[in-house]
Amino acid sequence: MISAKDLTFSYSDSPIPSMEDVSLDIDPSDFILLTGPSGSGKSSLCRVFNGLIPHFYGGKVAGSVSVCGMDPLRTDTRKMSTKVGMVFQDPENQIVTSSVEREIAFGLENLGMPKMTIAKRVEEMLDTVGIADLRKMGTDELSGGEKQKVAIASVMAMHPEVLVLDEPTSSLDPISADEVLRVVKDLNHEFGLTVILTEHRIDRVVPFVDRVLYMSGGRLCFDGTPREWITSVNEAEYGLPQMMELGRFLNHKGYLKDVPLSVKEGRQKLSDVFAKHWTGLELRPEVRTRNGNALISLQNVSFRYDKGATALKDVSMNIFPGEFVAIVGRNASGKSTLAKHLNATLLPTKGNVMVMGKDTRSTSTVELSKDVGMVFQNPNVHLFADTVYDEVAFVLHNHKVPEEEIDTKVRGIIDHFELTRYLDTYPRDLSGGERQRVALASVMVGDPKVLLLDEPTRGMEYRRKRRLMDYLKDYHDRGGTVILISHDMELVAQEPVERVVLMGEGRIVADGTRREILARSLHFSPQINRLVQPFESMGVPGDILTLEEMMCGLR
Amino acid sequence: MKLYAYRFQDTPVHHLHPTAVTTWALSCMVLAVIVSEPIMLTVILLATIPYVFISRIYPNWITFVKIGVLMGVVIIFFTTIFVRTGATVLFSLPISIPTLGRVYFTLEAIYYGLAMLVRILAILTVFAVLTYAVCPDDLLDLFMKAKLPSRTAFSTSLATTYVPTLMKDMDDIQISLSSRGYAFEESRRLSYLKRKATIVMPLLANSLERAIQKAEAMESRAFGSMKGRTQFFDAPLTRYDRSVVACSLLPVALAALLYIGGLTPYSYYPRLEPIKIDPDYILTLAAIALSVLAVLIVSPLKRRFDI
Repeated sequence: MISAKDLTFSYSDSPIPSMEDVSLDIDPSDFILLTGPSGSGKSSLCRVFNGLIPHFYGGKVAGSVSVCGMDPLRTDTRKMSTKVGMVFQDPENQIVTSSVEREIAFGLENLGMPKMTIAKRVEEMLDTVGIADLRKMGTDELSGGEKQKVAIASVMAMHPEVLVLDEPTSSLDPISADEVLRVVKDLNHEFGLTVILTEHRIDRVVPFVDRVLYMSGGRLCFDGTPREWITSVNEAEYGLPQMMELGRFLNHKGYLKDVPLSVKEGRQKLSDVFAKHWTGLELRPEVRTRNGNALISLQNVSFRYDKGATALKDVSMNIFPGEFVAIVGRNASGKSTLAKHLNATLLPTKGNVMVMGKDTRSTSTVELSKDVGMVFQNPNVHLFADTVYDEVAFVLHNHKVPEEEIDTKVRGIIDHFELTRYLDTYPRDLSGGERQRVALASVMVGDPKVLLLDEPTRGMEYRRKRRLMDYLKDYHDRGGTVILISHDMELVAQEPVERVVLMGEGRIVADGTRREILARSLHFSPQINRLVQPFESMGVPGDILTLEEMMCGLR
Repeated sequence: MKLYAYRFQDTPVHHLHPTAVTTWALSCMVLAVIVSEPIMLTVILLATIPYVFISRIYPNWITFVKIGVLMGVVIIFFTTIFVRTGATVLFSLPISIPTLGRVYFTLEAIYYGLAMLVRILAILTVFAVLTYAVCPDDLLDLFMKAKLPSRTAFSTSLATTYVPTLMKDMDDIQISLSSRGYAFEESRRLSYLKRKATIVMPLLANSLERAIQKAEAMESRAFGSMKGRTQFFDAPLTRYDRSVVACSLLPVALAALLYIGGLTPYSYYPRLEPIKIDPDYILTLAAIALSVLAVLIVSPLKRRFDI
């Protein structure tokens, strides 16, 4: 169905190819996971399949490619659209009309289809993707997950033979991401659609993909089954989800023949391993010991946006010096709104927010910026300088740090986030994951007393997530206070996190230690915990949260 | 300043056929441009305001008003300084400015500036109603029915939905810069403006990226592949809609009558032309108000006659 030979592509303004000598064959009805570090050429490859490269982006292409008998290098993207449907990363920026029905009909209208055919296909897609209840809604009323489903329905209405999805879940919470991936899985299983999916959260997709294509440095480095890939991937370069790392460890030890791909498989396969090799583990009881004067205090805080939606409802909490707090919850549960109250970006409609003894109503964001650093969800709002170096140095100049210190600090943090080769690069020329790292570095370099991070791992691969956590651990060990907002339960379950606050509908639903909140939960728990839950009778603690803890108990 | 995207609301104005609202808007704009007498302009403005409240677009309208006032202040400033034909000098600057010479502030120039401000506000109010009470996609269908090239029509429709996104981007960038210690609130005005200008580049870059992503998504769904794009959601004009369209033409018809009757010009210079308030004049003002309000008056009848 798809065949590529020695495919090489470079953007017109770049001397380095973003994709080099890629050769592959994809059969009809295959479900392909295309993965690799950020900037490895995945998005470029996706865009070749429907001809966006070279027709939309220009640049230099060499080699050959055939998709459903057509040559996308010589066929206009608009002609390719009936063969290849493409869903993009950002749900906001691919929706072009104001209602769900119109959005689904958009492509069909463009193809000049008869009204009856359009009516039939819109109806069909509403059911196929399971969004019939949204049909009369405005697109701006939809959640991120719903928008992605509408985007899928809209390309599927054109009856393509191949569906290409470029990181469709990277901005979604775990529940919405699961819903979107379930739709994609059904399209492959029920309708035999060929699917090519780019995704960093591989634990969510690996159980149902047929093949993994792994790209690194613009080259296709691996093409095989998920199990083969997990056992052979260079972990130092990419990293793996914890459950797969566990499988890999047990496989290398000879305890397991096959690496488990899902929690279900893991539970089936690990029963014997626990019976033979579990030596016992006593987890330290986690007690919240922080007390004294609160660094940040929220008293009965409510907040209502201009449009009338109440985003926070009577929230009270104290955050103590040196605490590492994670805030979790569904999309639109009030997490980001809460964070914006902590640096006076938003002021409460009711109640008070005190940061280091200062009332945010009488303190500006700029005044607080020396003590409270905030990394926003969308890295693009951070980027405005001409080079990565200037971007990172910006906060230090604003805080009047002596020039001689600035250079050392900037180079140090740029090195930590592995951005040294981009020192003089325009930040917006970088990939999504790289931009995220520049945004992180541009705030962290200021070494504030409190660090607020809103979804900092969006579009980041596992290895880089670990690097970020190492950095945060170091910062925390030096006495820094961290408030981390994340959908990523594996990240939140990691060691430096002391306290987890679960939000829902603008309220604090639960507030406790890491283990109290994350253990024995269905959605708000890491995979490792879901894996061990049934083995409590065998002496395996049901509140294990991390791979390291699990390893301690295995002989 | 905040602007929100279009959202359907259950109001009589939102239920009107897009052709009716668009015709009304264009018609009112013509009337506001043709009339130059200040009281008539004020009546036009006042008659458009009920549309704002009935269609519940007040928060967006306020932003339009702020923009209008800003433009008005600039006009008043420049007419006061540059127009020298006013006869009633209120005061003058004690010093002489190079090139301009002595600056006199005349009653006529200030009056003219204020009248222009009222005209701008009337036009912006009408535009706000058109933008926030008519679905941009319906507007697009209308443009295409009027044989506008689909690409141009779509770009125009997309651009109207783009403004609120731009405003949100601007807020986000400003917040991000402030939280990295960048103070916009400088005491010196020039420095403040210079600092505000920092937002422009990231705003442009964001907009460009967003536009590219939208274009990519549209191209991937065959946008522009055929000349005859199907209009799947094209709503036919009912008999009721046609009557409303007829009502919406009243302002332009009145504008023509006023023009023919020589009632539209008004002389601000050298002295303000006296306004003779007699029954005919009051009748003219009432006719202006009624012509602008006609569509609003008949709009609640839609549900009764047009099921």
